[in-house]
Amino acid sequence: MLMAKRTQALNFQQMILALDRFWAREGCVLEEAYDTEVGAGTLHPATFLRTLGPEPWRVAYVQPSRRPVDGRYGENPNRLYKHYQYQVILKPAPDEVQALFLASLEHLGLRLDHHDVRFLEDDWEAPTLGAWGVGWQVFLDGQEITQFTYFQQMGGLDLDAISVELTYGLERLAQFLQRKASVFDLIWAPGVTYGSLRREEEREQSAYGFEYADPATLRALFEAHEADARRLLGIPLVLPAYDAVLRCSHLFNLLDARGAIGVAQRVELMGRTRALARACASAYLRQGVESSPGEPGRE
Amino acid sequence: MSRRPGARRPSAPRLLLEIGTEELPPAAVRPALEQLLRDATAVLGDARLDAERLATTGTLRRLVLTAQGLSSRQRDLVTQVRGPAARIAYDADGCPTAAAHGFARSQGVAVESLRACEIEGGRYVVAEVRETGRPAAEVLRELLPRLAAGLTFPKMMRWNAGGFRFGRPIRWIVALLDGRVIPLEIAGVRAGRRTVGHRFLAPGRAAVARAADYEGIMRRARVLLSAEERRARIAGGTTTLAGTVAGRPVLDEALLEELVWSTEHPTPVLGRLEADLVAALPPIVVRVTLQHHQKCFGIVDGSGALVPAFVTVRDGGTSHLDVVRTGHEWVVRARLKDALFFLEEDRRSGFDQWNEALTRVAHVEGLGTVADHVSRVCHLARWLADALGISDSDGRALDRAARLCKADLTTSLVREFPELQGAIGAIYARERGEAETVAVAIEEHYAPRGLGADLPRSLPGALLSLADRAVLMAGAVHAGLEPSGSQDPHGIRRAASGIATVLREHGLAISLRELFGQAAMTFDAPDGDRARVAAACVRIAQQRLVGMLTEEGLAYDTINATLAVGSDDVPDLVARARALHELRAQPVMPLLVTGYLRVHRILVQAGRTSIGEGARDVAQGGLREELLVEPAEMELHGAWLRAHPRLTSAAQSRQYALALAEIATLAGPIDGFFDKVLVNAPDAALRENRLALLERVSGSFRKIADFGVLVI
Repeated sequence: MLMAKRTQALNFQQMILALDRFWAREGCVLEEAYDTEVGAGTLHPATFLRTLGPEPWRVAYVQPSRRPVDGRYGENPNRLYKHYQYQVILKPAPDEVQALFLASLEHLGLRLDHHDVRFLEDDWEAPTLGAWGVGWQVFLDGQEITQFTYFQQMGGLDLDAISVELTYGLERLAQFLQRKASVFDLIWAPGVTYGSLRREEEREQSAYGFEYADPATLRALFEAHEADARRLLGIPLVLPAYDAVLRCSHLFNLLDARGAIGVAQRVELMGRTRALARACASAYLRQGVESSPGEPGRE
Repeated sequence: MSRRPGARRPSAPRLLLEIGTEELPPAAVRPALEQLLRDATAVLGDARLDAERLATTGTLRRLVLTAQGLSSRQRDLVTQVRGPAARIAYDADGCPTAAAHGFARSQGVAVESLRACEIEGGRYVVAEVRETGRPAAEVLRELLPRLAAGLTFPKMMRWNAGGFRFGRPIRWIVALLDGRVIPLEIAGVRAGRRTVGHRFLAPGRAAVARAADYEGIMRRARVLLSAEERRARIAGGTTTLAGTVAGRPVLDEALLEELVWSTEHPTPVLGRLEADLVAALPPIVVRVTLQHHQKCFGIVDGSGALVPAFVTVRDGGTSHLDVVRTGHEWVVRARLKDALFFLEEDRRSGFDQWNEALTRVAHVEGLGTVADHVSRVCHLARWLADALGISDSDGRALDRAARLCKADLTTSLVREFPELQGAIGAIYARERGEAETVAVAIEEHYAPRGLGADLPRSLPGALLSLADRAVLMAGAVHAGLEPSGSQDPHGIRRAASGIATVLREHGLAISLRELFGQAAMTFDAPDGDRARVAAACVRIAQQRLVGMLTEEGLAYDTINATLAVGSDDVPDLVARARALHELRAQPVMPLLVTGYLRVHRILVQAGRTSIGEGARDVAQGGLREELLVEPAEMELHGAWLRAHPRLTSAAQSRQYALALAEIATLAGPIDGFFDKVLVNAPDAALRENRLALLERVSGSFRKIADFGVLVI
């Protein structure tokens, strides 16, 4: 196996560092992960809100993404309660964005002409965000490594400037580069595996999500955060309101994993979350984006 | 894709338009190329530009239009413009007046060139206006951008090119007329002569000096423009590679087509797998993993068993194939191990837990959970079993399969491989010791999965398929989700087609009205609403049946004539319609229809409404043989007495061709009757008796069809 002979497969943190360096050089702000639980990097305000409106914006960050239903107690080699997305937003999408993305793979040590790299149609839709886009899954020798999306709508609003979102699935990419069949065997840092850092968290969070989360508490929290979001939108304090919406979204995911919501209620709760996300998007646009990159803003 | 109108012009110029894009959705490329050719043909024609040969070709990264033997200018356009009336344009001496001069000036022609013509009864002056054709390049500069902007894709996108919408972003344009760039702009991209080669094999740009050089340049840039060539490379290479492991590839047509349109330089690569890993999984899981998830071809041996190997198609050349091979092998192995993990996870659980989980899975909106759906299906399945009087063993299998049919939706494997619903349920049913008939029915109840797809073969499978679809239809109508226009998001029409096909092919004598009546009963609703639901479902099912029979070549009026009377069970309807269709080719038909219409008309005039109940047995009562006095009426009666019992028994055994042959014997006697006999005789007793005779005759016709609907 030729890949295995190349002993320098990057470890997990080297991969992140390499992507950081690459995208910083392309003018991206290196943001940090958002500090509220989210299901995907798209929910970070640096994506969901910043892709609204006409202002140029480039950002890159790692977003730990929690998906309670995907938890498998750390027993499944490929399924995780929480995984890491490396998220890049380029707004507006530059003409040479595909070449730029491919250059980022070369920066990770891949000789692209030695491989089979494919852009295969895959459109993206997040109904709870009133968001959709078109693009591809990027495959490397049959492994899906990145979701590549031109956003078209966000929060139910047609976008003024079309952003491109690159979401690298860090675990999948690292497993491929390091040739590890189990995510838990990934080398995170010299002598440190992904499993040694994360397996216990997977076990406990899965047990919480599937067995011990208290539906009544979750539901009460959902109601409270929802009311808060509405109150804050009335002021308006958009960013705190949006935080409350994110909490609602995560609480919904927990209730769902717990099997604690009936079918009709499921539709209803999703609808309520969507309405709030849309309201945040509209309010954010209405108040104007005073904060543009490089300037102190209201955030 | 090419068209060749017009005459040969050896030295005429050649056009090249290449629209370079980011990777288009593979399924959208062929339709886009077809539209481009269609639109170009129309637009060039309208613009009076002749081309000897128009063609489109391309890949997911380029849509290419070429024209050979293009005229270098537009044909001149000569139009006749009507001016003032001749008597105003010329004075008494025949000299042009000021009006004629003014008109000639306005049309840019000499006043001497005006002619007087007879138009619509008046005499007018006419100017022959010649619009000189413009050079092709000038015209194309305007036309080609409009052509590109008019291309449609299933999903259109924007990408910071103003409001321009396309399938994927346009990144370069080559527009050449022979060696000259046509200076046009599409989606903000200016046309030039620089094209782009294969993404990895020939990165960078290449200049096209002349339009005629394009194909050669593409070949050097490692792009195979011809879809046929790509297809041959994929299919041929894959078959050869499969041969090296003593197998043949499963060349799934959909996958092949997708690969043809998602590559520019396809190169098949053989990958190998561990035999025990492949053997540990149900073959269908391996096939779906390879085919749907990894876009690889599976390989089977002479007995149809999977060989632990696959062929993947790289978009690139043959260098470093080992890296590509080991990469794909690694990924496929990981996916299969994933599937194995799900299989083992499912093995720790069972049907009871999966069914319990169905209480939390939404069915069609407004219709509760899938568990609710299942209990309705169980209900209807039981009714079907009783109505058809099926055997106890079939009944038990149906009952059990109905309860288990949707359980696999909550298994890990089906969540991972949704396309395997049913198949996985069957596999798990076998593993858990369910009867084979139960396993088969679980799998088969999803059949037919589309038009022309395989049907359920077992009786329990067929009945479960019917029950599942009938409940879905009734529920959708009940919830106000009937299909409208081209919108049928819940597949109601497909379900109706499935029902009609299964009933027909299994010869199940179930009345559609009863089937949907029972299906509607499984919903909690007022009786009136249920009746409405059942009626709507019957209507949809009949529409599908009409469609199916029309496709068989049966005429609308034949089908409608059979639908109008008698039983509404599908095999019976089909048998009657087919028999009537055969009869219609025979010479007796016009006389028969005319005869029936005369009978029908006179009965309606006499207020005999009972004829509407065609199948009613009218042999009893009304007719008194001693009152038959005319030879013609006695003859008709005799003919009817001979025909009626035979046609009745033929109809009972559904031998409708025989039944119709009996009816045909009535044509002559009916004709004779109306020639010789006065139905509305002054004597009331005679009149009533004749009407009674005609009622019997009419009733015989209406056992098969309403002949009055037939258009002769």
